[in-house]
Amino acid sequence: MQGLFFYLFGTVAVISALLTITRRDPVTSAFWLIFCFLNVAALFATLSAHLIAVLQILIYAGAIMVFFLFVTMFLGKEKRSAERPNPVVFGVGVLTVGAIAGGLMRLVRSGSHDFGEVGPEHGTIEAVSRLLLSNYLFAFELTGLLLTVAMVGAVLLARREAKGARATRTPAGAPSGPAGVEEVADA
Amino acid sequence: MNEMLTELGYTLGKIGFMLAVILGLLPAMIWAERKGAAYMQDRIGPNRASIGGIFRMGGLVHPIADVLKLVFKEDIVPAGVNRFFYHLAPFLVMVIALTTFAVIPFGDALYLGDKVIKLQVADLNVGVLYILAMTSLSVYGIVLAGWASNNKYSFLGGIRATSQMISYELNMGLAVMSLILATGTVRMDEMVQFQGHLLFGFLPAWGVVVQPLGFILFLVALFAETNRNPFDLPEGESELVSGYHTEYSSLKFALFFMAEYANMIVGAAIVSTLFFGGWQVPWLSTDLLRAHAGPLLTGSAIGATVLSFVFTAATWRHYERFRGRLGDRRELEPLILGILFFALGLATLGYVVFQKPWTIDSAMAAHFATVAQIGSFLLKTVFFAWLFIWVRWTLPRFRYDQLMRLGWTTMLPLALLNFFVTAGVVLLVNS
Repeated sequence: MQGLFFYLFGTVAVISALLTITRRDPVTSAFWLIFCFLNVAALFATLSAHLIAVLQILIYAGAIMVFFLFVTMFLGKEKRSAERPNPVVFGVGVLTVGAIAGGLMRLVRSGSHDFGEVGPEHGTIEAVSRLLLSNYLFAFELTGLLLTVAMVGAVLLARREAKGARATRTPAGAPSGPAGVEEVADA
Repeated sequence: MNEMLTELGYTLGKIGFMLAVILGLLPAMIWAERKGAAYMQDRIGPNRASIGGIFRMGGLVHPIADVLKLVFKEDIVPAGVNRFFYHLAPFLVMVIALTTFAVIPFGDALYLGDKVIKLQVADLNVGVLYILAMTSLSVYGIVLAGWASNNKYSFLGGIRATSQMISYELNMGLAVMSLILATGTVRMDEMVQFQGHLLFGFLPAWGVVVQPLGFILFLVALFAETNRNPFDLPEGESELVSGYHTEYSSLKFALFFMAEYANMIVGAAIVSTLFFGGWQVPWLSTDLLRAHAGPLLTGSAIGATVLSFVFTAATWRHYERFRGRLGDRRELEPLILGILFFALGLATLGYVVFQKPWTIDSAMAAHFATVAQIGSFLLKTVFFAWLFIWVRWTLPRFRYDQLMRLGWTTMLPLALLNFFVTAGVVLLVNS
């Protein structure tokens, strides 16, 4: 049963990831990417990592992709359709992805790392929170600080631009949207 | 194997109940919207459609006529649409609206022999975060519809939906976060259990009592996320024809229409679960309900009897008043309804006299408690569903910049303040 779900969601995730990079229209690509995220979330759920699964949907599929779409839709239609990729760029991309995939495969196959099975309690919200607020407290706080810096930077940039141009009626807080969302989800 | 099948049966039953609640309330909501709007604008509202020329039921037949009309209309697909996404969008909206209901508990755990049945379709460890995740996905159906329709008005509706979503999702999340801090859990069933306590010995510890500001912020954000007036800018028919569903017709339009109401019902269920005690009957915990099931059941049966006879009298008066004035079969409606009410009154009276409900056994008492809790949950849900309609016909629509300013410069600081104050209070109380 577990295996069936793994192959189902895994296959769909890979197919939608391929569709993401082969579609011409960025909006279509974005939708396939969202679909890919949802399937990855389902994979997390089958691994009983419920918190990660929900955060995957809430933050990546829900917040960040909404923002991506918002920006992409604001670009004109002529700017939106992607051009045929430069063959050099394409080649380098394929090589990089191949190298990473090959490295990962070798790492898993070699058995030098023990990916032992964890119990169903491992991914619960209590377990993950306890880890975050004890063993990884420093890294956790540092990430929070980083996001705050990014948010302040975004607001600062928006302010400077607004000062240069005429005072516009765009909401001052809007550019910091996704950073803020992440910040809250982390908090 | 047998064990698994019964388990599956119970789950299917719960899903069936959930669907029955949403799809059963849907036509009632559409009726309430039309009739409520009519009365608020000093009109009579829908009252023409009838069954057999007799039953008009104050317009309750109209939703059936609406559905029949929409089913038989021509399904027009405009030129230049992105076919796959155009057809996907209405289903997506509806599916996400329905799946959100899965984590909402509608009664205390029921004991059948040695089996425990949780009255909740999915008891998730992440609980309320699932609701946030689903509401954040609900925008995609709208964006997809707006973008795939190949229409500038639809497209603008989609863009508005995304930016509205980004702005209000944050406030909603912060309000829920404060509630999580106050109740100390993210699981929906534990949250409802928490709300069964009494504060200072007399006040139910409902979310709205513990988190008054959080409730207001959550409610406003919920209105924005369900795209209901005063935040229905993605539709904005005075500016955008009808926004994201301009190019949809027939059953696909009906799906959008139904999804809006399904979203409202689910939103109402979420508000009543998080902030109004969910299935908790105020002041009556599950144990109290079970212990005093006899008198309570007798009281409700007598109340039902009295109400039935009052309705009988009212319909009879109506019949007397309009007899001979309409001159056709419509006159018979109050008479037939009156007879039905009278029969109902006799039935409940007979139940009280012959079944002696004050002597029920403990197994039946448990069932009575469950039914009372489901009733309490439904009553709260219906009230908040009505609130959506009430607000829509009371307030005008916001302008776009007002919407943004309210979200980012008023609600966000308030939500953050609420969060920090809650954290401080929880720290003080726990130490």
